[in-house]
Amino acid sequence: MQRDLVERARRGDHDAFSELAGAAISRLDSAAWLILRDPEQAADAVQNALVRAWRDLPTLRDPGRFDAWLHRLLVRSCIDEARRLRRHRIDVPLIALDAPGTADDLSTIADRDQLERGFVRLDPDMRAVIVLHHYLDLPLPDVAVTLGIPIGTVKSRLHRAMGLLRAALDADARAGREISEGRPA
Amino acid sequence: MTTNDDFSVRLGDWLREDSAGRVPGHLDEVLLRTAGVRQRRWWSSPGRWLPMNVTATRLWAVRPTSLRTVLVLGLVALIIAALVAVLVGSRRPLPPPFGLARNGALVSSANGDLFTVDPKTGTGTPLIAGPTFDFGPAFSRDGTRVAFARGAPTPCGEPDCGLILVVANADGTGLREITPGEPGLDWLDWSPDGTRIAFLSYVAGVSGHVLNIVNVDGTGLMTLDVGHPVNQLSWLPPDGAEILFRGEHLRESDPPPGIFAVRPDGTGFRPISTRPALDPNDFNDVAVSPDGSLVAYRAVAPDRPFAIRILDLRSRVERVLPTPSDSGMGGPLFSPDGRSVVYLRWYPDSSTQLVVAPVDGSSLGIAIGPHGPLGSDGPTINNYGFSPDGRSVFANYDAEKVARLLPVDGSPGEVIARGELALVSYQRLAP
Repeated sequence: MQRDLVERARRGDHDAFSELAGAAISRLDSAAWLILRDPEQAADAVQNALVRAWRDLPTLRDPGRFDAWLHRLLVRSCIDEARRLRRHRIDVPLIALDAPGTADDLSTIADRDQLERGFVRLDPDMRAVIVLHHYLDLPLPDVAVTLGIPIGTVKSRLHRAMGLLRAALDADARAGREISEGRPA
Repeated sequence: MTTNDDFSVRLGDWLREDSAGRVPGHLDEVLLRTAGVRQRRWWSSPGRWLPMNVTATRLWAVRPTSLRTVLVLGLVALIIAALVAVLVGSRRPLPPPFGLARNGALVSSANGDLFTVDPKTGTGTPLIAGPTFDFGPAFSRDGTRVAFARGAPTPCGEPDCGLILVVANADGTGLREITPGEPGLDWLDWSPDGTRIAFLSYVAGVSGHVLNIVNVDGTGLMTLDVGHPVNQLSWLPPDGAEILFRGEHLRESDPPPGIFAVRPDGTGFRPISTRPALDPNDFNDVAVSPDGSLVAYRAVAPDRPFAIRILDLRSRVERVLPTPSDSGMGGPLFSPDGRSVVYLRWYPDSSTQLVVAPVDGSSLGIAIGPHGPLGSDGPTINNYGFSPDGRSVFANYDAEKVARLLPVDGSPGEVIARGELALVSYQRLAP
């Protein structure tokens, strides 16, 4: 079905492209948000990626690789956005702290906060690798294809990103323990 | 202590939770933008252009002519006319339409012009140059003419003005446009006797490509309705009584994919493949042996990404070419003597490499040339084929932006051109 739509869109059928874009935009928007951490930048990146996709679709050799190709356009667009603005606003969702919560809830919230803080400290290139592999569930060879880099580079970039993320979480956890034990962080 | 797996699961869960509930509200805006953007033509992709250093055409300065100059020029013209008469009288022998031949010119295209390429220096000499956008040359089987695509003039009152199929003599003279602008013009093949060309194009309301045939003098253009989207067509050797092609499955309403044949007059449609397709990617990369007895294709395989199968058209028996257990394979093309194929082997690290292997499956074959990475739209080793003498394989390495000529014995090849890559065609000469 998707292959048919891609073939039609390649031939200039804008309705077919509308269907492809409609089916992909939520996934693309989520991935862009995760990489950029800014809703406006994410929307711009998605828009630019889809415009490029429409413009360049006739040059796509294999319609079966449309998704990988679209992911690549999106990641490039995200990196371009991040470099263009040279700033990374952080929109942290507010959590209603006045609502009573169980110990498990609080632990989960703390866990999420730690992951959020650690994740935003990574640069967009590293976030892109994590998003492609852990959010879009792409195997590493597909991540390499999507980013246009050797698989060895993907592995090392992912290893480094995960290491930095874990180190950030460990640092947060240590600071939390020290505060709760009455010592300055 | 948290294990890596636990941490990955936590991270994955958080990524999904963090991005959940986002409702993008800009689809309409995106579609408004795209509706106003003109699509690039498929042939404008840099990945399709030719690697070469182009020798610029020298323009002669125009000066006032004297009577003496006119006389000298007249004498030179007479001498040239005499030489032409002698050359025409002693026609060189032509190669057979199939089988081994002597290597002739290597022709390709760059920036909208056709060039002959010197494999030793990588230097290109203009063959057909000018304001028109010409590309994708393909020599006739006897090497005397070359067909290519030309961008149709715009605007033409249609969203896609298409491409014109053009035929010229091998030296660039005698140029003739033999079709109107054809949207989606693609994949052309000369008939064995050189009188007709089969090609693909789009027709409004029809899924995928349709099969067309035109006489090389521009007459008799017709589209064959075969009830299938068509791809990878080839005149069936030795006499070209049928055209063999891949029937594609692009829409739900399309029949399953397979290999089929039809006579050039549209009659005699028949299946060639001998088993049902396993999925829409089955029966792909179809190639016919020079004697018309074998068909090679990329098949869906249960134990690897793909395998190459060789179908004997006489016995209807298929065999699978051997390959290392962790590798896939695709894109087979027969050598001029029909004894071997060159194909693309896919490795677990996503890289690919060309392999020359015997069609009888007696060995794994010889890997030739360097590995190429997998690009976002497929392999980056493209447009490969055997030289007419069967001793080398030429190929574009898009990731490196070079074209190589690689001996089939696996010895080091050479870079024959550099730059943006495009299709290449090798002229066949009489042995």
